[in-house]
Amino acid sequence: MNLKKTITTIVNVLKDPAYSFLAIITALLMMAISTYLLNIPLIISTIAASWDWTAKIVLLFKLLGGAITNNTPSTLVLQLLTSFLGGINLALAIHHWREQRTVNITKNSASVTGMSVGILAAGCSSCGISILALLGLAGVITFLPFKGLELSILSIVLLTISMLWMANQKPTCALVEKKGVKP
Amino acid sequence: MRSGRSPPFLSKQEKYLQNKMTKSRLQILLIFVAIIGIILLLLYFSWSTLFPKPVNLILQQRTSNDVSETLLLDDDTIMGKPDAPVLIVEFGEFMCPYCGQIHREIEPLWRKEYIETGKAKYVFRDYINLGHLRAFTAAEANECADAQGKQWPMYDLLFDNAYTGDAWAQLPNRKDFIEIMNRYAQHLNLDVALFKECINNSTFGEEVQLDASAGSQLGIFGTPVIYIGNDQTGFVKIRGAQPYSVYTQIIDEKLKS
Repeated sequence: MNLKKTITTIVNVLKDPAYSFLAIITALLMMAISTYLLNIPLIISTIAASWDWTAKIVLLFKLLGGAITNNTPSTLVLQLLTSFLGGINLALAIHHWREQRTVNITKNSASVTGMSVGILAAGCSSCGISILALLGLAGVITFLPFKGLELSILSIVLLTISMLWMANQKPTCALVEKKGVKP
Repeated sequence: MRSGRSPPFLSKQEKYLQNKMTKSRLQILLIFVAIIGIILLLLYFSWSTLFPKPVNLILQQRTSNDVSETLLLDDDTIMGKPDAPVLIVEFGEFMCPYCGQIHREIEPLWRKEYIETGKAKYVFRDYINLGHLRAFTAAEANECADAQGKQWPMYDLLFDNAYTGDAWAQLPNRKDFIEIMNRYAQHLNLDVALFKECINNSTFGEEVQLDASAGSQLGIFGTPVIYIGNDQTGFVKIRGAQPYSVYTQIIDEKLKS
């Protein structure tokens, strides 16, 4: 793998405003999902409350601040990294799909797994306030040496590998060939 | 190439491309099915935790059969006026860094803005997280201080020194940890002999366990979890350390209704 060439490919894809916008939106969505997942009952009760809609929307926005208050600086950096890598992965996958009209299961599975693990690892695992604990797996985290931090790192590794894989895919000119095919 | 059938006039290259297209469609379908499957599995396993049955969280509904002041209060000491209209109950733990964060950054503002003005009352209940070795004894020490009327000063000392100062939460040796607890008792002018006896006999061990059991019944699995409300308007459950403005908005809405 030519790393320089691979990185140039990623940069070239992200130079397109549509793909960079998609990557940023996906990253923000991942951050929002991992922040909101912990407080779904609160969100439901807020929406169902008889407050005026402005107050409801303001509270939902304020809850996003939990991404900062419910993380240590290190977990916040890891979560931001996971989210942005997730965004780049999706942008690359869509770029590849539009160019080649093919999907590689292995590379995309690594990407989807990385994004899921990243979301699951968010929050304070040692205090049981994480999505994993929400799924009843708080006990598992206790046995991990870094109390769940390794999951964030696993997610980053998976997302980096799938990102490099996707960027390193050689074009097969499928689009050109397809144009010549007439049913 | 809309039909799934291969017309007989397709060349070898066209057939190859058609197969490739069908294969990628199948792959997309497989990924889609896998994602839906994962989501359904996650929902299946987390449904009861995400939407616990006994807890009615609709803000404006009365929740006499679900979460009530009686259920939340137990016999724990109240900070503030007992007849304050809004009750804030925190299920927390002295070794949880985020409970410490609430204690440092949010609770002083609550005390000033709502508790001292008689708008709200505050109760701290113990919920011990797995793997937090010293947290149980720290909770007992807090109860032992409470028995001598000094819960809140001990509570401040425990939170303030968990990871800084004495850093009791990181002490590997239990003996050193107990010595620190005794020093706190001395510092607060408690009857140290009585305090030591209370810790050694684990007098309030059952009380700490009861608090944690109450938390589990309420669907709590980690700390901090904060309930805000009253019997008239119901309770709101907030997981994790949220920005101060989240708590104030909910308390203010509760005060309005």
